[in-house]
Amino acid sequence: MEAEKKSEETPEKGAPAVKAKESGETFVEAFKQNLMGILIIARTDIIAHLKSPRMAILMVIFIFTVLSGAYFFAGMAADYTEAQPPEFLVWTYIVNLDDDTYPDDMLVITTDTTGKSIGDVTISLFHLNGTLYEKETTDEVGRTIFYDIDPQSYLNSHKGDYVEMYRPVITTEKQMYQFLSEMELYVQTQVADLDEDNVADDVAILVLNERLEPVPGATVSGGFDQDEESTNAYGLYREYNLLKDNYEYEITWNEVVAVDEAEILNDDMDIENLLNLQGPDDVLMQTAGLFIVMIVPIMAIGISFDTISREKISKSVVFLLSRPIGKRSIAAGKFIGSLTALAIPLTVISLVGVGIISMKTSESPSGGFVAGFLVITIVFTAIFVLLQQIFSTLAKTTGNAIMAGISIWLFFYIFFGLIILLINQLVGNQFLSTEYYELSNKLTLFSPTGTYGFLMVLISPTAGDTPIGITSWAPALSFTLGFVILFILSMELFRKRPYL
Amino acid sequence: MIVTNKLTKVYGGFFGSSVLAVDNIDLEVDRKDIFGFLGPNGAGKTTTIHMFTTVLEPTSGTAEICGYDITKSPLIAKRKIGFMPEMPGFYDWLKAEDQLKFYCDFYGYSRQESKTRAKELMELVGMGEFRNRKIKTFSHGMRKRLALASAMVNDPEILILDEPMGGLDPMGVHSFREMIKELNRNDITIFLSSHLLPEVQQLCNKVGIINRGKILAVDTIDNLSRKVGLESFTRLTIDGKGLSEKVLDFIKTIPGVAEIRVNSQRERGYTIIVNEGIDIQDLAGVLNEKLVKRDVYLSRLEQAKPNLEELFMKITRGS
Repeated sequence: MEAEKKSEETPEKGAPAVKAKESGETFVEAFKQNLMGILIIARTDIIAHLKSPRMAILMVIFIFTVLSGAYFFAGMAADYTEAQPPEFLVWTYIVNLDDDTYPDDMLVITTDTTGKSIGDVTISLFHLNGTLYEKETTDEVGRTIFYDIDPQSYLNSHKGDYVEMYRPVITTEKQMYQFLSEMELYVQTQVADLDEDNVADDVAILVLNERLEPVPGATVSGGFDQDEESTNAYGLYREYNLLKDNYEYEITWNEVVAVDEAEILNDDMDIENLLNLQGPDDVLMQTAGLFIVMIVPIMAIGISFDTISREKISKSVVFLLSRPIGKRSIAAGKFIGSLTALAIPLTVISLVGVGIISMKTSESPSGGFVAGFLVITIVFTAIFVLLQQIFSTLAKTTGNAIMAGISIWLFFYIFFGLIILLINQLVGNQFLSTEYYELSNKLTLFSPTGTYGFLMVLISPTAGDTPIGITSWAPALSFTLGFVILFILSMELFRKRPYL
Repeated sequence: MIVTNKLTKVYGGFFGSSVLAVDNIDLEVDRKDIFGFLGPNGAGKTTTIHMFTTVLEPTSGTAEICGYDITKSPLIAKRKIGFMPEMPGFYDWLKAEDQLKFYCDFYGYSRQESKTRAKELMELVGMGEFRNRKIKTFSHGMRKRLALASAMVNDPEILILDEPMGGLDPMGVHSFREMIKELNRNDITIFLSSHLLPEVQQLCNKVGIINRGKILAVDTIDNLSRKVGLESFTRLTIDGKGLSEKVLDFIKTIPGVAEIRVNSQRERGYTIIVNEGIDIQDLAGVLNEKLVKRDVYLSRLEQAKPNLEELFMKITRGS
């Protein structure tokens, strides 16, 4: 009866827009109305969050942690010098070749990294003041001689584009006379990147006899493994991937013993190498993996712990629920509001961080990696905002909501690793075995913190290997599923709550 | 305007014990009614109201607002109503006007329209000068007024007021009563729940009484009174030496006089029963003027209206 009356008696009163159809609301109208409501709630929340002193405090924490982390790591990357594998080795021997009284002549031998001679290398000898003293080119057996050289000089050598710069020859006259003119064995060690792993942690030793000819089969002992080994057919001995240290070598040939030493300055176990900080991309990845992953959940908890509970406690939710908007849309609007309010400053500060990294390492991280990092970080933020919003919906008091948020953060950040260890132990996987890694990686997909790390590794231009035991799309799937499930859950829980 | 059919709400029940808060209620509120919804604490008033505003979902049964089912077309139904909760909560950090503009946004008002509407509403509830004050500085009475303004943003057809005058001082109650009457004159149907029975009696043309989730009675106050045996009457007692048949016949011709009865010996004199709707003071004046020269005087004036409180107690106790 009322419905009939309505159509003739009541003129269309009330607000403009969205005219009601007599038959009831259609899906499209409801969708439009809800979308509008979501945007209104989100907008109001964004403004409220951005103006709140709480946001300022959280951002100070974020700026301090992330920017100092990026600055520190970028500094480490800038200090790290990457070794270039040599195209040839230059060996110099100060000897007496012109039969005057002084050993002031220099034999220069150029070889490849196996000790085989390389000819046609130009060797330039300079005074220390930088003026050219003499210039020679090695012959087909890779040799050339400079006679009566000035004690204070240095040389550089080049073949084509490859240049070996400024090798000091000898600096003082006194040093020069320390060389004995009646040597029976000439031994020289060089530290270089012989295995082309970009670390100068390999040693080459060239052994020559008293006639300055290569000595194959000389015994070399000492060094890293203390084994006795022999020089190759070109008189060269090589040892690879030594740790940072001083090494002594004893070379024996025909009962003649010579001693030399080598110092390794950079090795694979350096802290720089442990974090793999070889450039701006690595710095960004490590800053994200160590600092952002830790601090973002705190930001999310700090912003969204009371988004719902405050509305419930102040009863403003009742007013909101009586507006033409669905309950799910209110929850969605609240979520979008919190996330956007966080994402704006996080993006700005992260880009400042990228700027710092570029300045310190004098190279920018690749654009695609930065974009991917921002997207992944925002989804990561969204997951924690949703978790916290769910707690805010369920908890009776705001305090409980905070405690639940901090607990879940601790759970993923610390305890999840312990649980993985425990499960590995229960199924009998040996620590650090392949099975151990496979199972651990699979389980890590259930943790947003761990999955965030996987994704950063996967999209990184420098460290793009898929962790073993999982497929390359698994972390992205885990992230997406986690987000979707939590999003739906947050809306449904909000819908189901009684608000009295 | 509001029609419910076996509307029911059960709380809990999934793990714990369930509570039947609203039990199969059938209600009908007509256009331009001021409907008073009465019941003791915990009777189910607020639960019912929250189902109308879709804050709560009914467990079973239906409710229609202006012909729109609240579960099938909740958004349209909500556009038709304005709701003022018992404990209005706001975003305290906002200015009153901004809060109203926020609510306006949900109905698709333009920026300018929202602004004008917010200003209008603040004037309507008598708070024009506080438009730009932050809500956190507001007193209880001011919050109530702002709540009424918030309920009015969409110019609703039905205004649902949950305890609108609760906790207000007498001045506040008075001005709220006047505002509600004024809104009703402007074609707005009012559905109000209240504990303040005298207010309900003064305002409402129809009441519904609810207890323990069940509707006990829905009718006008007069009809209900008659049903439970609470009569309303107005009577005057006259006495004096000049009383005669002739005088009594004359009195019967005065407009408003229904009947004259002879009193008992002890009480003496006659009782004049007055028609309903007659202003007793006016009639007394007329009688005095005409009778005093005939040596007849008014000895007593009695007026008994059905007492809503008594009515309420009788009905709820009966349940």
